[in-house]
Amino acid sequence: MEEFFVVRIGRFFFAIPPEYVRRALPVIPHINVPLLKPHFGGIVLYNKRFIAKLFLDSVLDIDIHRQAVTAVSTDSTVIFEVSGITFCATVNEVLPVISVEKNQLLPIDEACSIQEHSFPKREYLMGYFEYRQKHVYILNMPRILQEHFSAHH
Amino acid sequence: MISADQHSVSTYSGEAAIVEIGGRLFGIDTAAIKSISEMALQDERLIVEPYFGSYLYQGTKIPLLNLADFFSLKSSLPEKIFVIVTSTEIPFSILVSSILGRFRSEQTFELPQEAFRYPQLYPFAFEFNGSHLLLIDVRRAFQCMTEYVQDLGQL
Repeated sequence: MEEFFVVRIGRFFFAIPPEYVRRALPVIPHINVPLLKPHFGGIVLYNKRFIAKLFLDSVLDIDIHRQAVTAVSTDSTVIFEVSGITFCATVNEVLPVISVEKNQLLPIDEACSIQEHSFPKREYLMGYFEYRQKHVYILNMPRILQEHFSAHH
Repeated sequence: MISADQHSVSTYSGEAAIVEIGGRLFGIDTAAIKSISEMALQDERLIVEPYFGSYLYQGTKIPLLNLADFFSLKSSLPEKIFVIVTSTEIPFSILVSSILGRFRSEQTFELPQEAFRYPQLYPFAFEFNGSHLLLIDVRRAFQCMTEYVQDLGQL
C-alpha cells in the first residue's frame, strides 16, 4: 500500500507522497516581490522566515478556481519540503490521506483524459490512480523543485 | 533575532533608510548611503530615463538608477523626488519617490533566494510598522540592472 496526500487544484485532483508535505493551513496571504522567477507568486512568512509561494496551477498550466467572495472557501496553503527546500502553494481543497494498492498505480500515458485540451503538464506527473471514479494524478515533486528552484546565476 | 546569514550580519549596519520606489516601501542600508538630496523632478542636474539616467553630482555625471522600471512597478513620479548617492567605491545614484526616515531594524528574516530571478538582490526582509519590507542591496541592484538592460540590447 502507498499513502498519498491529496489536493484539488481547479477541477483536477493531485496526489503527493506524504514525505513532501509538512502542513496544510488556512490560506496564508503572500507578499508580492518584484523580480520573482516565473510561476512564483510571492513570499509567505512561515516559522519566522519567508518561504516562496509557488503557483502550482501555473506550473501545471491549469485553472485554479477562484472562489466567489460570498462562497465558503475550502482553499488552503500547503507547506511542502523537498530536498531541504521549504515552499508553499495554495490549493482549492485538501482531502484526507488516501491509501492505494501498488497495483492500482497506473502510468500517466494510460489516462484517457490526457488528450483533453486542458490537462496538467505531463512532465510533472508520475502516474495516476482512480479514486471514487476520479483520476488522481501523482505529482513529481522533485522535478517541480528542480525545474523551478534551481539557481541560474 | 539577527539573521544567521553571516554575509548579511557582516555587511548590514542594522539601520535602513525606508524609501518609496514605484509606490512600494523598501529598505536601503544607511551604510550604503553617502548622501540624500531632495530636488524637483525637473532639476537640470537630473536626466530621468527608464532604468538608467544620470545625475550631475559634484561636477560629475553619475548613473541614476530608476528601480521602479526594473521592478515593473508603474507609478508616476511626484514633482519633488529624492536622489540617493551611494557610498560605493564608484558612486552611483538611485531615484526614489520619497523617504520616510531611518529605521533601526531589530529583527531580520531570511528570504527564499532560490525563488528570485536575481539572488541576493534582497538579502533579507525586516519588520517595519506591522509589515515586512525588503532590504535592497544597492551594489547588487546596479549589477543586476546592468545585466538586464544589456540583455535588452539597450546598453
